[in-house]
Amino acid sequence: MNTNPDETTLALWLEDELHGDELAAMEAWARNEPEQLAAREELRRWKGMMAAALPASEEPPYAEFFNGRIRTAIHRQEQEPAAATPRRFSWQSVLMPLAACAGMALTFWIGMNSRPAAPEIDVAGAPKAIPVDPILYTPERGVKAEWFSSPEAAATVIVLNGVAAIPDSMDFSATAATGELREIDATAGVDGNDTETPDL
Amino acid sequence: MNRRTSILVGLMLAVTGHAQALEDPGKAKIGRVCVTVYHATDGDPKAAGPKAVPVSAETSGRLSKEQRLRFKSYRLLGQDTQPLLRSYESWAQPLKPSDEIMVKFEAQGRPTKKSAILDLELWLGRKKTVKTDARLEGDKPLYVLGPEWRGGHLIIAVALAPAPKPGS
Repeated sequence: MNTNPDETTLALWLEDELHGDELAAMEAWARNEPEQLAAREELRRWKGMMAAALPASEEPPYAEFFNGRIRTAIHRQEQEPAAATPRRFSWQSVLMPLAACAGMALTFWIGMNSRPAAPEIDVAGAPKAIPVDPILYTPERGVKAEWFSSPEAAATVIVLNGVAAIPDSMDFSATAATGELREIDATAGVDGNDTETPDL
Repeated sequence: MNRRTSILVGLMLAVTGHAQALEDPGKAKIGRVCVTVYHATDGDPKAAGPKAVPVSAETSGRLSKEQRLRFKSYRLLGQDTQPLLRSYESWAQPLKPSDEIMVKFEAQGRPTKKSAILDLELWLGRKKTVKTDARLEGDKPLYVLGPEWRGGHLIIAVALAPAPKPGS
């Protein structure tokens, strides 16, 4: 054999696992490989030493003891449901749901009857409304408006100054002809029926 | 697009717009505002025209109690009542068909049963003359002593009006 063997063949030769032509070829190759021969001899010696130290086969110790324990455990597990004792009546099983329901009802009652917290600012002594004069804006040049409240007339009044007069030639008779006009002062007032004001 | 198609499209748009108007909560009527125009004069009351209506003694007495509004006679020239909408402005045209005097108003908040605060604009001769925020109460109207006309002055009264009675 002129070429070196591959690793697999070399390993099989070292383990004395080769037979026939392969063994003959490896033996021919190993004649010039004293290191490989020494390695095989060492391996053979180690295998012989191990074979002398260990028995070929050995029974597990106390096999019957372990199997018996397994059988006992299985038997106990199978017997447990049947051996369970019936549950005894406990007042706790009744009182716990009742206590939970009572707690929920109490919480709901407190929520329904609680009042919002008092405002942080005490406004009891503050005036409810501060009367403020309305703002008048007159975009027309030369026009001024004066606002005042008239207790005598029970009205608020705006007097326009500097506004151009309406020409006398302008005729409003077409409007004044309507006979269904009503007195503003006799009808002023908001109807108490607020059905048209659902929510803003 | 032929004529029939145009009509159908127009009808669909009209129906859709009407439905949207019905669904718009901003157009809810939350009150009514009445605008009345009086002619107040110390001269001849007939200058307002033969069809001008004399006011009641109650109205005359009320106006006369205020020195700035005191005149010898008052005549009712026109009146217009418009709904107060929740989100939109309204226009009152008391001298229809003339637009010489127009009042625009819009709610500043939800009116109570007794009062309402409005954004109010008085337009004279198609020009915005005065703008204010008016607090109207049921028994307390707003009087505006306005322009001169035919020997007197026009007084524009703005007041809350009661809701229309059902069936009226």
